[in-house]
Amino acid sequence: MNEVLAYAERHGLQAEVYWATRSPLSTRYQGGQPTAVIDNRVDQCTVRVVREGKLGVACGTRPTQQLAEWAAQAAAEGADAPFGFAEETCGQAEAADPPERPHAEALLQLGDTIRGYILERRRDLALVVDIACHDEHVRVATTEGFCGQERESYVSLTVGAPFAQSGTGLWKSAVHPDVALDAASLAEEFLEWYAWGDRVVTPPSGRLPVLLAPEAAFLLGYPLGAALAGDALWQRTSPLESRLGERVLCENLTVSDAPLDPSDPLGRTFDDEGTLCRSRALVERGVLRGYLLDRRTGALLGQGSTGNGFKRGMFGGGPWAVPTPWPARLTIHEGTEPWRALLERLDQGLLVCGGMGFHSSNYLQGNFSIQAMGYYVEDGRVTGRLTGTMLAGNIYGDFVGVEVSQERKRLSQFVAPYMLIPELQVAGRR
Amino acid sequence: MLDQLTSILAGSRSATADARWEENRRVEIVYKGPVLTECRMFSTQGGHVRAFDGGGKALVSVSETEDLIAALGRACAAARAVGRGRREAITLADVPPVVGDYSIHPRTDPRAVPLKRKLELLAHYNALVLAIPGIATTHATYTEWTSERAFAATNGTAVTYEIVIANVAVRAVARQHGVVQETAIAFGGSSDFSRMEDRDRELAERARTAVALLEAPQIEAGRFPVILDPDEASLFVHEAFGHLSEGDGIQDNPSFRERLKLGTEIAVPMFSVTDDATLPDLPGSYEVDDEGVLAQRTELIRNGVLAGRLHSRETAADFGEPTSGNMRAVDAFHTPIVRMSNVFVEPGTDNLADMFAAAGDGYYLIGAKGGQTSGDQFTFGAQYGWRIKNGKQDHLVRDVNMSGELFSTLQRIAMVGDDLKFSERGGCGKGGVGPMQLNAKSGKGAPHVLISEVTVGGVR
Repeated sequence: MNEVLAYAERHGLQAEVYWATRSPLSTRYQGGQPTAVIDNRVDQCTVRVVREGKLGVACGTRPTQQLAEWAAQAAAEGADAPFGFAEETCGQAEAADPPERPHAEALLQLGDTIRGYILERRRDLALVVDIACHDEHVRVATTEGFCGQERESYVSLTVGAPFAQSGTGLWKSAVHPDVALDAASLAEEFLEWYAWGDRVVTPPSGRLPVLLAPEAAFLLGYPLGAALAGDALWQRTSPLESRLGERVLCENLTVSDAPLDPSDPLGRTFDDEGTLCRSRALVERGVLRGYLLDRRTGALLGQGSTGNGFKRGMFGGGPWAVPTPWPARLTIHEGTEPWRALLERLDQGLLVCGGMGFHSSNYLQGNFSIQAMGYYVEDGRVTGRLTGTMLAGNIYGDFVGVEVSQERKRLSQFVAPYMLIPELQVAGRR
Repeated sequence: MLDQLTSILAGSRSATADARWEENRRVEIVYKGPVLTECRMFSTQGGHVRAFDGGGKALVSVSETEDLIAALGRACAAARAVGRGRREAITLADVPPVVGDYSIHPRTDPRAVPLKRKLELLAHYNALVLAIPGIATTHATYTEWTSERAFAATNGTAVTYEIVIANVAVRAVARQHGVVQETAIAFGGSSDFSRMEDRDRELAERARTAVALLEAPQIEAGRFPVILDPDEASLFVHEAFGHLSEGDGIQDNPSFRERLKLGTEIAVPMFSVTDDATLPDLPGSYEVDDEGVLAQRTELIRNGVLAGRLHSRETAADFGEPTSGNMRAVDAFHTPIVRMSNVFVEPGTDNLADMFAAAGDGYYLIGAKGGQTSGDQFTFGAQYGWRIKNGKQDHLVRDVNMSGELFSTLQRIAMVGDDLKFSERGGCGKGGVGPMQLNAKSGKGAPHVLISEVTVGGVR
């Protein structure tokens, strides 16, 4: 990285180097047996320079002088750079090393264990088990004096299986700092929910109560994240523009950006531009408290970055992506009631654990229209798996009187509880 | 580089293995509203090694050439560990070794066009849209991706080949009284830069529709007959059927393998679907895939009957079916997976006027807006639609999403138009072994199609 910074200083440039070394190790079991191990060790690097007020960006593998030269050339034709690179350096920016990455055999051993556990109890499954050890070493350095590095390392476990005579299936996931995760709990949860799917139901059309499982919290989290993002504010397409202090969601909903929880392996201390992350409320008891700004949109809006410039967003990203505003760790706060008590309260409704087609919705305005994946509930009991069911609504108009469970789940995208929405539009049986 | 790969593989002893090395270039230009926000240059490299050893399989990516030998060693060891846990060994279908250079020679090579011209072209389109009354902002991109690849395998295959694809995509955003609507258009989608020039008229027309949608009602939820325009119909066939024709998607789903046996009557007799990587100048066109198998045309549905399937060497061996040359990876950091090339509905004999009359009371849906599939369930959006009343086009509707189940929907195809058209922009996200891969080299086409009943999602 010093090579790039030295080049920049020799040529009177401001520069920022982002360098990630990614060493993911993963395995997948299909049909109850391992299919492959993936063991990657790759470098991805982005250099941004500002020359005479113009931004140039070059992407490569390692931080070399050549990359700095290309970035400087790109700046000749580049966009205006209304922002500067990170200045502050903080001790927290150098996080403690996570555990050593396990060997492939350790992942296969975990896979064998969970495969055995599930197939002993339900032999008819075309079981899929995905185990991935994510390991990413991120370094950011700037000519303005920031220098930080962080290792993000965690293990994700997903178990799933297609339902009989169906291409759709059930998937349950967990993340943990290392391979010593509670696979049996996840397996038990999977087996219970899978058994609910033996019968297929298409619910009646109309407005029905819907209990969103944590896995379906993207219906709230993604539209909210998009509307809070500086890009939408700057382009004046956000429905939350200039509404700080106003009630925008129901009072039972509190949503934070909470990246500094030391027990959360997906936390971050600085963003992908070297700005320090902060834990703060975005929506507090329904009232809008904060936006998500990176260095560019922060400058354009005259407010500065909130430490939310990330190279990942709603639809993925990676080390070569442009930093854009996104939550560091979106967290929907828990309530007081057990989720099963919320379920029992449904005379007739849906338990939704996923959905397809969200990205085709006008989500920036809070709308969603998805094919619902989940279950039909009658008299407080799950009576079958949904098929042919569409679910539509708007988080600002329809998430009224929401009740939130006391349990919440840590997923790779966010941390979320169950949420009971009193009424959403369902298209099912005529 | 090819010699180096061949030499490395010679050291793999008993394993079956292959290795790919890539040198990739990319140009990205982005306007957001009137502001040029990005001008980015990529120059990246990387290698990917696959080893099949001891009955198992392992995949390793690296970013430096000097790491390739160690990568092969790691892959062989991990493959053997996988093999120890398997009931039966993973095998590959035999294919004849392919040797040669498959470089492409575009009519107007985007690599030869100065960056300044690309900036000017995008600035022109962006300004054109911003000048339309009612348009609040834009998101306009120029993307150019080129990849020079070398691939060698222990079966003697040794090839070099190229990918060159460039396109312009413009999103027009209209806003009024707190309502925001947008439409999008993309063009190019091939190795020919000139296809992206002189597209003002269709771009402006699509942008003006975004403004008109501000006054349009949201679509009504329910089950309706729908006419899909070619872009939307091609999205339907890609999402709903195409993914189920990919061998790796159903390989380990016993009930679906049974339901999707070749020779099964799956659709109405007028419906035929083909995948063809050899068609020239389309987003999904190529000559050799990323496991060294030559590209080809594969009939998937012929007159309503399942006729073929898309395969890797591994899935072809597993199914006992011919290879199809459909294994592709977005870059060296991802392993190849089975992908559609240019998938399309073969043209029928009907015309649009007859479809309106037959639909009676329904919707005419226009413009692909992303889709998703899970087994036999599919969901996809449309940029906008028209309400059809009494067989006539009535009024615009917005916020369109629909869903269905493949097998019953294929039996509800009532009419197939004679106006086959291919989309100019690809794009398909698929996971599987490893993380999601967003493949720009994915083409699709269709004529207009009438489906007698589809579930439409709406807030009303």
